[in-house]
Amino acid sequence: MVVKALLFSLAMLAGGVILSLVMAGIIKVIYMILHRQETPESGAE
Amino acid sequence: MFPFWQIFQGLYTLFTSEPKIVIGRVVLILLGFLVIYLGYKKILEALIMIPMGIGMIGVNAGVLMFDAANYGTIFVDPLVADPIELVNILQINFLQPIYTFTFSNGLIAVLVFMGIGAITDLDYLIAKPLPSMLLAIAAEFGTIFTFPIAIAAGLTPGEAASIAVVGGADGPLVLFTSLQLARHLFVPIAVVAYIYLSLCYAGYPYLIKLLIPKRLRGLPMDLASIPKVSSSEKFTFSIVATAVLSLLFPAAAPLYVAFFVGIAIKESNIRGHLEFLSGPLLYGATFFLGLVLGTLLSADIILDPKVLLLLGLGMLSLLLSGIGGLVGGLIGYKITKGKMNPLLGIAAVSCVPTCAKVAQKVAQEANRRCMILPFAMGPNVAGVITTSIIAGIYITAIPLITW
Repeated sequence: MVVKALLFSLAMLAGGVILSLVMAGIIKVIYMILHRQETPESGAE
Repeated sequence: MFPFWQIFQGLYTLFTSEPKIVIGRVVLILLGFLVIYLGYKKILEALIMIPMGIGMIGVNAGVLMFDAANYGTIFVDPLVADPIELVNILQINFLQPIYTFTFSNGLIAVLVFMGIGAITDLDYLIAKPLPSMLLAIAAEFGTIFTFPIAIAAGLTPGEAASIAVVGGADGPLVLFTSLQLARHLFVPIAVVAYIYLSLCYAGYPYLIKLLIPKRLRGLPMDLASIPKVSSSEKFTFSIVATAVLSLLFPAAAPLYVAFFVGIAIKESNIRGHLEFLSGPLLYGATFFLGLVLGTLLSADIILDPKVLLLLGLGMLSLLLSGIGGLVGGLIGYKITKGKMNPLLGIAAVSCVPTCAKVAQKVAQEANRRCMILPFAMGPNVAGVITTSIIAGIYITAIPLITW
């Protein structure tokens, strides 16, 4: 059971990294979309 | 003859209980005094420790005789399961309604999380999500690797996961996970968690000084490098994150809703709601959390032989998470070619905002002009998200796996 638990932990670490990257990607996309809308183009000014 | 000495039942029950219980009661009363003193001196978190210490003293001193053979208190009985007995006890024990209706269903954890969301600053996380999230996952080392160690020590998977989550340094998440996976150990795990979370503030500076040289601790970061993040960006993130995380881990959805509704209220600037969440709700829930936890620390409950093991594993989990975070911080320092203060790693251990404050405090000790708090809040909040992801995985996966 200990080996199984260790494998589970390793899988969770990998899953955690992937999900963290996904969350970081989501945050980045939101930031880019909204930031572009709210920041006026320098040429437009 | 009238038994005068039975009038003072706290003393009478102390002298007529079995020695194990007597020693347990005396030790817990003394521990209550110590906890109050350390809270008063701000060495431990006063918000939790002072009501908790008073609860500990009251419940262990105030044991009375129900009849010649039965001793007990009129505070709270966490072990009652029979519905008829529960209805009777609800009318006797003064803290029973709070325990039954807010602790045993996780509501208190959710209320605290709403308040935490309402005081959380998301700027650096939104502006620099990748370093924040990666530091946060490094600081989950204890949450992830205490699990197999706890299994090796003889705990069941549910118990092991519940104590491992202590390494996420997030009290509400520990309460929530142990209620879902190891309800029978909820009381000792919750108590272990909150005692250790208070110790973070006192203990982590020593760990930092042990692992990070002074030159790096005082490394200044450029505040002008944090891009401006608008309220609408933070508001949108809170809504999307609620949907995504709830879709992935429905078992932890109440916590996501609570945390992100707090953020959404803050960023939408609904002043009345914000004042309620960050004031009466957060402080009220924290007060009753401390008081009820203290009254749960009665000798008969805490003398469970597993408690000693839980104490060791809880400390190991927080220690591993602290080391993981700091190693992550050192890697970040190398990758950014010396632009990132490695203390951001300790902030990633979550415990909003305590660990971010610890990072700032230690950085300022090394360099008076060093201001890293706005940066530290990024990994700090990311730590809440990663811990809730790990807790969600534990709650969802453990019952599905044949161990």
